[in-house]
Amino acid sequence: MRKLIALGTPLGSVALALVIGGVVMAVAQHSVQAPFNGYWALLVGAFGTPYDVSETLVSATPLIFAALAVAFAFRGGLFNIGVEGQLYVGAIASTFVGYSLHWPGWLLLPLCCLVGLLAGGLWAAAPAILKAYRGAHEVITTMMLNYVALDLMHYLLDSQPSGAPGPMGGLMPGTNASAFVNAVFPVIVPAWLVSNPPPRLSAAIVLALACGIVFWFLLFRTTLGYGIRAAGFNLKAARYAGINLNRTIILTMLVSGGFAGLAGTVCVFGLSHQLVDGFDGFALGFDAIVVALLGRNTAVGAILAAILFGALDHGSALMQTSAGVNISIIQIIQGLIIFFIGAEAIFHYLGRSGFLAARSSRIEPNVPAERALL
Amino acid sequence: LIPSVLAEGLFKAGFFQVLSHPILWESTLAFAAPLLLASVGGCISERSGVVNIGMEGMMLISAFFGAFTVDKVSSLFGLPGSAAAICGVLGAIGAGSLTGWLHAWACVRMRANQVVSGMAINLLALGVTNYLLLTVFQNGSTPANLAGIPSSHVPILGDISFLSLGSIFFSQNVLVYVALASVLAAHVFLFRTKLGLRLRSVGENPDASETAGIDVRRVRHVAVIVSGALCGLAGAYIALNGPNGSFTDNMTAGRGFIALAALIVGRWTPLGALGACLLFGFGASLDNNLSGLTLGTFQVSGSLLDMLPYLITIVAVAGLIGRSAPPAAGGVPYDPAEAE
Repeated sequence: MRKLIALGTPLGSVALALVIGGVVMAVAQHSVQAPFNGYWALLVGAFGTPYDVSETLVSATPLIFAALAVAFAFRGGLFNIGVEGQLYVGAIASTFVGYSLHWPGWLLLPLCCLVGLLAGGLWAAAPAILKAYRGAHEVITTMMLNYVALDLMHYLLDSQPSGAPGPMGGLMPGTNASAFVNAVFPVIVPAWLVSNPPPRLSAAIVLALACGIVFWFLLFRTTLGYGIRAAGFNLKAARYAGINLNRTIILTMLVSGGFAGLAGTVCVFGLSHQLVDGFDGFALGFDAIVVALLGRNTAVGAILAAILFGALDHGSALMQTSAGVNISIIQIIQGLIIFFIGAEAIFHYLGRSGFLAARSSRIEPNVPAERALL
Repeated sequence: LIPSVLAEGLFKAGFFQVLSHPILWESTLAFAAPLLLASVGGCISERSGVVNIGMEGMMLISAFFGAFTVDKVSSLFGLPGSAAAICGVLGAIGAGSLTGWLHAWACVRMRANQVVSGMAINLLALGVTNYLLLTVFQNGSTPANLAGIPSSHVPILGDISFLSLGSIFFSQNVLVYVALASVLAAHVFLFRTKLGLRLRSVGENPDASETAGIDVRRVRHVAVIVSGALCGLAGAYIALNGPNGSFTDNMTAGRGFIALAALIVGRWTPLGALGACLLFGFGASLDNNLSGLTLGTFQVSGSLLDMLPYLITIVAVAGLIGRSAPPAAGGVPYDPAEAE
């Protein structure tokens, strides 16, 4: 029962955001039917055919990793707003290794994943060390590191003003491309199910689900996880209980950044098979915050919420072409979702003033981020 | 490492030739102005205890509504350029204040997590402005002949040719002067008035302030709205700067976050923010004017220069060069029922 109630805010937020999005559609097209047409097209676009389902999961895959990263840090009372930068660094490092080594694919791919994981983890560990020993707030430092990573990527990949390729840009087109192609995640959709257009869903989603299990295991079956959750619930109590907080903070961010680094690795090795400057439009790490909060910082929640976001992402294309709804309505809906989740008390407010018959009850800090955060 | 390489490159090309170029300093001020307006706004909000990472979104929304208002008043009422531009600035301030109100409502009344609410505003702003740009304007772009706020030219002073002082200081956009004035006004308000003292006390110790009879939530509410209005001015500057205004998708391009960085590096004071904004503006100006130049054997990389504000901020919060500590009660929602 408690679990059912805990679903109230996320579901309520999604519902409210969809209603407001519907009102926008109705007003924009001067038709009461527009939102129904729009959302139907969205649903069909996301799940209409086996191919669409696979594409929805393709969109969801990197989001699962990134959302696990955000959620893991939240569990320890840390707000990792720098997932975007960590996943860029993970993508850069793993691509570099993937292009440089001539190893067989079955050996190279795990190595690349490991490198991406480590690179993301270390990029996140730097602000953790600054927080542990210098008290620098992680929201500020990780946010700033996002832009540092973005600029680093521009520097490495973009052509220099003279026309010469950037340090890594020259590496990309072709030199060791064959070695790299060996190391991509194989497509897992059987040909008899989806053949045309060719399916793109790769084994990366299996790794994503495995990471969900790792997330749960680390948090609930290890001493480290106990310490992390204790620090997330109540910092002072955790310190009195003898938990080494500095070590916990650093390890939390290492793991969180590791998930983020894998998100970047998967974007390259699971989908695009090349490193494109700003490949996700500087958005994945921020969407991941919405997904993590929507999933209540649980592994299952993050996976489900990521699939929802994947559906919004892939389905919106059909919504635009067949129902004439502008694609950026999805961004508005996502923004509204996180706004309503953040302002959770809105549901009490609506309940009190009679807008909602059923009152959604406040969930006691299953989600440490709400209070222990800042 | 980067600054030393840069310095070496600059030196080889003739350090003083580069630095004495008036355009470098002119555009330093021009780049600093929107950062300054937003950072002063952020300073007021954060000093009252409400973290504002939604400045980027507030700027973006008001930039859109600035351009939108100019377009509407000139096409519907046929207002001439300058009057339309003034309406545009007012529209931007209105949109910024409204967005500020939304943040205030969520953070102060609904006791939302302030970082989450700020993030939400940034995401919403991107979606809303992009949606409106594509639905309101033909072809998804603002008309080319949209009126803007032209640069002013102060008589006599603007003609000073000594060290190009005239062109650097006295022929800037009007909003540059507004930005500089806002720094002074905010400084006097925060540190020389009773109301400013109250605002700071609310940010440091809300319980004590409430006991002393200050309505903590009201002070915070107003402070966040004022910060939204200042972000509105910053947005107006971004959209309407120059003879012609325009709006493009994600036009603010992270400048709200640089303003936040300046606020932190400036240790949550308006004068400190001024220093940091000038520094970051100088960096942007170097980037804009030098990027792509080959100075001696050294090629200036814009991407590496762009990193500097962020790295400086990290150094500042890590306390490696003096400590930068936020207001004590920043980020914590105030609930009168839970007062200790």
